[in-house]
Amino acid sequence: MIVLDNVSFRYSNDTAWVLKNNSLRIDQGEYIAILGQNGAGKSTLVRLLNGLLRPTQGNVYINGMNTSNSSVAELAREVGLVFQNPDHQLFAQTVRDELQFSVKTLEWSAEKQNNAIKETLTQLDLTLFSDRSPFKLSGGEKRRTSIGTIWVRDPSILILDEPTTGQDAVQKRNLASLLSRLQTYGKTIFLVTHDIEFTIKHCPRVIILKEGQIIGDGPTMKVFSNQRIMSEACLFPPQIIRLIWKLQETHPNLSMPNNPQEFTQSIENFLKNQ
Amino acid sequence: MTSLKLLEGFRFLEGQSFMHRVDPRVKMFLALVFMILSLLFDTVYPMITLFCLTFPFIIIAQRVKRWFLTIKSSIFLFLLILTLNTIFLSFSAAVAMCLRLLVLISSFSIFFLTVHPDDLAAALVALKLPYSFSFSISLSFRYVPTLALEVQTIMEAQKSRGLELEKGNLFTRVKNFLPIIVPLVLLSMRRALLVAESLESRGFGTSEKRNFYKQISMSAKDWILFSLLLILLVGGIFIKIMPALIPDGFAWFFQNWPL
Amino acid sequence: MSIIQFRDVSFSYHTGECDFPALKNVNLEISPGSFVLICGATGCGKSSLFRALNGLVPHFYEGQFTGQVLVNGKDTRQFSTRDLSLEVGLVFQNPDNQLIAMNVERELAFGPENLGLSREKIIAQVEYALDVVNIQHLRKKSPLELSGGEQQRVAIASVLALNPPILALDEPTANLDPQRALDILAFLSQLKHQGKTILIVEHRLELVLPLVDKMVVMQNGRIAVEGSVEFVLRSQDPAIDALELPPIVELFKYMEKTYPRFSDIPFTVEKASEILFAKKNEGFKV
Repeated sequence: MIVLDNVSFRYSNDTAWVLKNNSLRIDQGEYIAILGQNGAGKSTLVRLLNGLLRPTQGNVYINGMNTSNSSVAELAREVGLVFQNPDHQLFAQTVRDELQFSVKTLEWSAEKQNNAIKETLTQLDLTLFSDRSPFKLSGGEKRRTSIGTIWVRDPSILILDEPTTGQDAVQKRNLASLLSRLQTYGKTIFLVTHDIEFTIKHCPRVIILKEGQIIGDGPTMKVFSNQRIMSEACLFPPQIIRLIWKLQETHPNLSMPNNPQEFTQSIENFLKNQ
Repeated sequence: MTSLKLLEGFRFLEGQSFMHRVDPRVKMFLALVFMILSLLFDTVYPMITLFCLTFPFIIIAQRVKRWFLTIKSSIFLFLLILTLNTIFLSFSAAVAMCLRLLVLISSFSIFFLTVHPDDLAAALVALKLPYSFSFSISLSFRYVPTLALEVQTIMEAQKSRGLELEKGNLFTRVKNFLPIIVPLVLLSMRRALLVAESLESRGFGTSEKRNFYKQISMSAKDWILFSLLLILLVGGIFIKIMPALIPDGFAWFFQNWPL
Repeated sequence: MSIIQFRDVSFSYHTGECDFPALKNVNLEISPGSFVLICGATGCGKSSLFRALNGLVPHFYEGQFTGQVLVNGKDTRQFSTRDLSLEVGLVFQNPDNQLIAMNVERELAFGPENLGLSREKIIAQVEYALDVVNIQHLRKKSPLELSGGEQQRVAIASVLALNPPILALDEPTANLDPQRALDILAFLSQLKHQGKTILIVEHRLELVLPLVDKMVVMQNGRIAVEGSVEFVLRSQDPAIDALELPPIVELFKYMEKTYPRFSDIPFTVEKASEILFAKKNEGFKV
């Protein structure tokens, strides 16, 4: 569980606040996305969760641990942060070595380490590449490897920074099915993203950040169809929501679908009901 | 952070002061003159004189604060020099040595604080060095912060995988840097290719004569400053090689303290 | 008359051990003043196609090149990248790898300086680029002080300083949030109306489609489908599967398959609602 208790952050006393008085609670096993313009404070928030940064005011609790009293190494066991660009972390000779490096600091028995590596290779479809150099993999395979280097450590919370940036539709679909598969293991999945279409399809809950403050938090369809929040955060509501709004102008009885899967049906109902 | 503050006094900051407008070649000459003079003499009073001559330039450039940050964060270095030289030479020599460092830092600080890296390139070209050479210098200036940011991201990414940089004996620590260095080198190589591609796309590296957007030219003020510096340099050298020129009663000025 | 012509162009990168084919028998014609979207899965050859426009392929990248690329009448094999920089301005995904000077005006001067223009001409070109991209207020700033959107604007200005008739942008908005991405796209559309030819790679079809005159979908180094947006969206080619189609397009493709008399494929909210209202009014029957 992640709890933010009235958290503010700034880099030093003479710089502006990056985050201001944010409180938040995320339960174990949630699949959640955080959106906001560049510079809204998303990366800072994420770095507060795994202890790369500590709050200036307030407290951050990860599974009951106060991050202000814990080291990055301790927190990294609970919170796995996957960076945007796999090239920022891949360095080893083989994919297997890459995973080995991630577990060797965990004081696990050799058997546990090996099992974790073997399972990760299977779960992330990396078995075929285990003895290949990570630098010779394709973009999508590299990304899976970089998720693997965090996954193998078995954190309860998995944070991904901009996982869909620069990915084509096929890669995105693969990523989506991978993430929902990982979520079934009871992990919390936390995305930092600009990708509204990906979020609406896959994340039940969303947080909107603007100039260091959480201005929206709730079920994705509800937040995305809140005109005030969306325009304040300079985000475009997804196409389907804008289409429903447009239709509602003359047909106020038409209701907003609860999830994107019901969208087609809403349109069919709109056409059929006189 | 200290290491970054140390560099504050050498980092260019856009400004409108007189010193900013002085021709970069003259500022290069200024740094050179003070370097030569400070190495020529090794006693306290000439050093104080040299410092008194350099400091006003920093004031004119309105960069005293930056300069002070550098001095402040190199205080350890000063103390080290002071102690070592007092033990092995004399207190007088130690003070002179510290002042020499102060003069060196100040004069080069004037140069780097007020010379735009791109002007540095133009100045080197004006001094007949090949453009590719001066361009690579200004390009390295440009990419220092980018590289620093990249190192930071890589360190954060590896820390998130449990890497602890501060732990272990010397050997482990050196080994711990491998996960930082390998991605950095690979990323930098890729970046080099992409930058080259972008340069190429904008016509870089053609043999034609190149004109500069900002032209550097010596104004009357530049020539005056240059002449003053030249007089100072020649005067200093004369006094050094012909001590007989020193007027009677001024010999103490060039001698060490009896300490 | 086309401003860009690819005639049976094939190219393989020379990567040491083996040759990696990136373009296979590409034929393409682009008319002047059009806004062209190039899309396809990662590794489909989009980037190589762009690099062939200003001669980076085959001059800068070594490999096996056959066929002919004509840009404004110039055969890219016979002209250097320097000469072609006057015809095509290439903008890449990451501005950090393109902004090489310490402030904006020097960045814009870089291209004109390289071409050996007179100082007066260089200054005029810099002013032109600052005005066109509307970044006069940034002229003294260092690239590190700029936001991502501003950086990309400067990168665009830096090639516009050479005033080429063609602008080719390889995922220029990939690192930007939607609002800033849209700002850049709208600006490019404005440039098109001033007569420039725009080629762009962009994944966010929802944002870009309303601006596009011609859409080209690539797959495995070949051009799979090309034509008007409607034509491409309607295509049954498997290459389309690698695109992230806007939800409205998905909806109308489904409607077309399921119900008779649904034949349009709109891609904007306005057009879609217009069609739905019309269908509803004329009495929708299953």
